[in-house]
Amino acid sequence: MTHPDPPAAAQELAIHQQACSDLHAGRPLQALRAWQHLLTAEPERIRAHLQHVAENLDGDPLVDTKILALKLFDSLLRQEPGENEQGQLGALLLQLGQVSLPELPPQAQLRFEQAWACSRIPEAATALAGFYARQGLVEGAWALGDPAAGPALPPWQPLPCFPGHCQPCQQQLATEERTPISYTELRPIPGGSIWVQRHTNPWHLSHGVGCVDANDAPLLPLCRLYPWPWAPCPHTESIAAASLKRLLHHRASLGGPQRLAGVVLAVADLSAELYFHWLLETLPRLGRAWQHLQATTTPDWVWHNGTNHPRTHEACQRLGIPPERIIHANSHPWIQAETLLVPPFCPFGAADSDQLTWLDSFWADPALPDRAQSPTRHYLPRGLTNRRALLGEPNWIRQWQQYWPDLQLQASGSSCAHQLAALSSAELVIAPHGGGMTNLLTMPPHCEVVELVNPAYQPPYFNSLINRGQSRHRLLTGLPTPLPLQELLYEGPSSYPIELDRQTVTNLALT
Amino acid sequence: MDCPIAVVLISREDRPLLDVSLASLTQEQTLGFELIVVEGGFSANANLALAQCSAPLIAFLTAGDRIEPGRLCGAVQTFQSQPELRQLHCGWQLRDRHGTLLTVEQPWLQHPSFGWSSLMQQRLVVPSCWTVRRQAVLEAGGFRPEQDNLAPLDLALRLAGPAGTSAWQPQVLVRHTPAPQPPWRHQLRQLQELLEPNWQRLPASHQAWAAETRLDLALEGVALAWAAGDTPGAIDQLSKVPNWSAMPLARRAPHLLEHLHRRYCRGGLKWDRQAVMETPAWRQSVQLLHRP
Repeated sequence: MTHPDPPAAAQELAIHQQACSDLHAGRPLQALRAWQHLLTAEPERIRAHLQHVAENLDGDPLVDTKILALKLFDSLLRQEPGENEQGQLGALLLQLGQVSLPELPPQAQLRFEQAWACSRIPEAATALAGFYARQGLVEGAWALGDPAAGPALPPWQPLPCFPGHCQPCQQQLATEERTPISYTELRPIPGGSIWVQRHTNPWHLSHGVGCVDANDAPLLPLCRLYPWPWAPCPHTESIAAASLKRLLHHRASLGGPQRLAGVVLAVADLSAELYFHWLLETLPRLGRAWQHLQATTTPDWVWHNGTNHPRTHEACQRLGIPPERIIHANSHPWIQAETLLVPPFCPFGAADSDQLTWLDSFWADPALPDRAQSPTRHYLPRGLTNRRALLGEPNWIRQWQQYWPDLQLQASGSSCAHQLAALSSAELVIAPHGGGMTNLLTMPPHCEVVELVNPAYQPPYFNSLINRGQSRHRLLTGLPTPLPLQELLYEGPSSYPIELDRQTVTNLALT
Repeated sequence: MDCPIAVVLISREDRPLLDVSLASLTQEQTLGFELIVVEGGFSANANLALAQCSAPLIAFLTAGDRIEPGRLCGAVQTFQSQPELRQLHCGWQLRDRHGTLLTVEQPWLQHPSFGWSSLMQQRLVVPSCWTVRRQAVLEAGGFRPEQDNLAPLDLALRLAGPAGTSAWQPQVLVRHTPAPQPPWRHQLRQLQELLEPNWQRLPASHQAWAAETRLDLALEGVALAWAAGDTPGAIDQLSKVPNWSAMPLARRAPHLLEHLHRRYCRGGLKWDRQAVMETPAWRQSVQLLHRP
């Protein structure tokens, strides 16, 4: 398989867009036929995707949805779509709508409209009645049902931009000089409370952090919620204000706060359950505040959302935080403290030089394993995962090992310190875009980094690591994920697998 | 006297209605204003009134409507604080000719920004809720008499410019009783003739929006016929809608029902949703709406 030529890609896109229009307009069979046409044009490739998803069902919070999608695509590869497939599609769309509802209501509405167009599903009708009533069709909504009978809808208002996907902000991020943040300016908040919003998505990742004072007055600079803008975004304030309503709405379903006597240092942040955000954002924030407080008052508690993972223990241990003083946000998502201390957030997704310098010194310890002296080459495996796996990864590794017999595979089970030390002598690192690339923190200057990406997902998360070492950075862009799978199988671009073609890989080895 | 605002009172040649409006104006005690009474509606002498008055702002008032205290003062303050502002529109209570409250209209809830696109979607200017800057109206060429009942909407569309030139006065400050309307086919044709050139001026990137608002107007036509008691005409109108692709299947029936509700209210008719949805005409309409 090679990259499709532009006219073919444009034709596929036109067919897919027509299928989406047909689905919206109540012609699901036409939509299914169009998607079948696209799927059967490259059945082997599609089967590789389906097999990948099937192999990763264990532990996938969307397992029911994925099974429905797998059945539908399997049918479409075998036979002409009929009523059976139309029903499967309706059921799948309904589930996709339900998954999106708490955090992405507009996406949920679209899915419910599609589901209803497939087979007049009553659950979709009642949900849509609620949506339409909220959008001003207060009387009209009754054409579908009682607007109050459906699921409770979270507040939502259109945002001035599409944060997180904004190209101008991403470009500015790469060039602008930022003022370092002082994590040691800790203003005590007597009776303050703080919570993470991780119960509204099936992955239980923190998609929001909210903080209020003792009178429940929001402390806006200490609140943030996805979709969150990049640091240079001119709309940050209005996005924050809109986010606050949703944060408070979802807090209501957490019950009440865990009340804690004494001083609590609270550092939970967006997606800190993931290695990248934990290591580059939460750890420097926690570490600097903790070290600063040792000179005055040692906090009674530390509250974070880095999970119980060994890498979190490892870092906390190195900081000297006793395990019995740690409270995990996954078990206590909402706390209220006698005295709350919350350091300012660091810029999201773009560590600044100050953070990186602190991390350098934090991990640069004589107790660390010896760092290899001779140049080394590394591949950072993505492994079995339902988020952005490298399809056929074992085969590609074998191929790369033919070119570079000394290619080392980083072991995911080893300690954080070992992983970081291993890259300190790297001259070449090949890695699918993902958390493993966080370890580039320790790579030496002028190392070559080959980042494997899906064309639909290549955010600049690692630019600050790559730029500071003046590394040679190459993006190896895989094939676009087939459009029907984007639409119905994967939850979003951050999950699309990376699918390389042989020619691109060969070119990599030759250059 | 240099008044900051003039009130142009559009009379329907009905003295009691005129008295009702004049009485409400006397409550606006904190502000001096010019008053010009125009006989014969917008299509006749409104431009003459504009030429006659000297105040920089003009508030319109249709005979029979009443303004609440603060309607004029609030408008003057808003215009003074926003030099770029050309027009301002407040909310209104809709009342039947006996004074019974039918509904309270706060259009900013559905269209947070007042301007060209909200006017194209809402297709309504209530003159008694509307205040304009005289100079801007003169520069826009004033009312076009040939637009007849739609002359205010036509002018409002021409006044709507970049952000900051139009705004809501987000308070309900008028009691409005709709005047008798011309036959629905005439109303619909007038609306289509007024809006079509506006749609055609849109760039290609906005044609999807144009298709959606065209479809919305088609549904308003159905509602106009229905509220006029011509359900066969409404069904006929519905069956002639050329292209539904701009609106998701699920949203079509709610959209039509909402139009019916608004049209009933605006026409001073009693609205009974259940009764409407039990009619054969509604069932037939739903069948047509749900044709893929």
